[in-house]
Amino acid sequence: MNEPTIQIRDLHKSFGDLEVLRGVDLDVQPGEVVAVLGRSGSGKSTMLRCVNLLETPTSGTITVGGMTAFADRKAAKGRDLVALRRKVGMLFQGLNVFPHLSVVENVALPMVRSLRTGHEQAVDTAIQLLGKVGLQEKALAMPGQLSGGQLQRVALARALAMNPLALLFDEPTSALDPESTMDVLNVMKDLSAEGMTMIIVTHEVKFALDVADTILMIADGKVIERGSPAQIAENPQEQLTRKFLAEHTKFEGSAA
Amino acid sequence: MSLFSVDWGGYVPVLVDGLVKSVQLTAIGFVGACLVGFVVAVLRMSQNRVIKAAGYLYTELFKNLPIITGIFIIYFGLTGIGLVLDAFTAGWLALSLFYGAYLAEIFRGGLQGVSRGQTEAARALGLTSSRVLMTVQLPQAVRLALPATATMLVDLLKGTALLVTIGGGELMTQATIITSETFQPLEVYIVIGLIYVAMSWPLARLAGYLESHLREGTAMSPTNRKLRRITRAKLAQAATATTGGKVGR
Repeated sequence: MNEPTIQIRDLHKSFGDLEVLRGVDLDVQPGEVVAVLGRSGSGKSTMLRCVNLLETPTSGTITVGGMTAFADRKAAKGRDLVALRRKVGMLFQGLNVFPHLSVVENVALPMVRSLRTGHEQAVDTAIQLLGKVGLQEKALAMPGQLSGGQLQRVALARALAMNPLALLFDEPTSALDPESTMDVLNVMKDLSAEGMTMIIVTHEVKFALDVADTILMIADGKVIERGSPAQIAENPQEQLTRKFLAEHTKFEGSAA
Repeated sequence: MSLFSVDWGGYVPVLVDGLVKSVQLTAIGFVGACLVGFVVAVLRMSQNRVIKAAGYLYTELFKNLPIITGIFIIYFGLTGIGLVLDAFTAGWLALSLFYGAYLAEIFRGGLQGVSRGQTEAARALGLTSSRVLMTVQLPQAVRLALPATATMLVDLLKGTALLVTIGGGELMTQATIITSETFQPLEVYIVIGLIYVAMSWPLARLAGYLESHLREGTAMSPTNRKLRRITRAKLAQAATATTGGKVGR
């Protein structure tokens, strides 16, 4: 069996007295898409943010691409931390495209500054990636001129530009209207078809069941259930999972 | 009858001298204030409580002390401990220290106005903290802080007039000299006042111009301009390759 791209063991995280993660284990194989479901406050975002050390875990181990991100209560620092973050791209709920840079600069500048890519090559890659997310003609636009869905796709192109081993998605469509949501989800689906390794924290249950290889259900800082989309959708074992799925598919049915 | 009773033609060299001094004091004082402001802003945002407190004390002290008192302490007071400064040096030093405190607050506001999501996204891309500062935080902070900073620059230009109290040699000092020779305070101070307006008004306009341009997304660094230029060329090239190509062959 392959070495997992991302491995999380017994991950704990507390904010003061509040214990947000209480022993999470997760293996993400190369090319695997893991969708993480759960109510707000269940700890799913915190788990994701621990992977690239935007949050420092309290205890447990995390390895990414064979590199230790966190072990023995010590987090990677300095060069190791920067190297770790280059291995995993991340998309956020907030549309964090840099507003003072044009679209092409958003994608190309991190390459130039962080990977020391040549200007010509950085622009080539940026234009190609913008084409991939359907925004090549917006290359010279400023972020203020774009819609939410377009901004999120720029952020995706920007993350891909770093040539990451895996992508982390923290509710990437929660701030978007339905149409923009579809645009972003379609690009994500294309990526999964190309074999990109992804962890997706989302409330889009239908999308998760459609695209993911594995569904992870988190409640109160613990994984309460995991399985293939078919298992989870057709035969959820936990009462909480059943309730969650019922709530999240109730209105989607009537809207479609 | 002449409109003026003062022989202004004869005072041109004196006025030019005062004008040059005023501009120099403004320029040097402002550069100094920006440096002080940046350092103090960084101190105030430090995680270390002692460093943070030092920055806080600095801004509070200079915000609450009258500038004129500060000028007197530096020019007259420091001679008491053997530090004798000429009026010009004492002048720009005082202006730098005071306006540095005001600018520190403005710069801090600018830096803290850049949302957490922006810096988080930059860190997640694997940029080092200095790169995050230079590529993401500072350019946005500058845009946020620019209007208030420009107001301070204009205020500092007018503030140089305070140096009349220590004979700073600037425009206002020259005005008092001309008045004492001509006994025409109304005319002299109105003319001098108009010269100040003629300097500060264009300065404020220039700041407004800069502000509107930066908002529209002018590339500030050569690297950014270069990236846009290459992109423009490549997109144009791609366009001709698909449409013009057929015509060519």
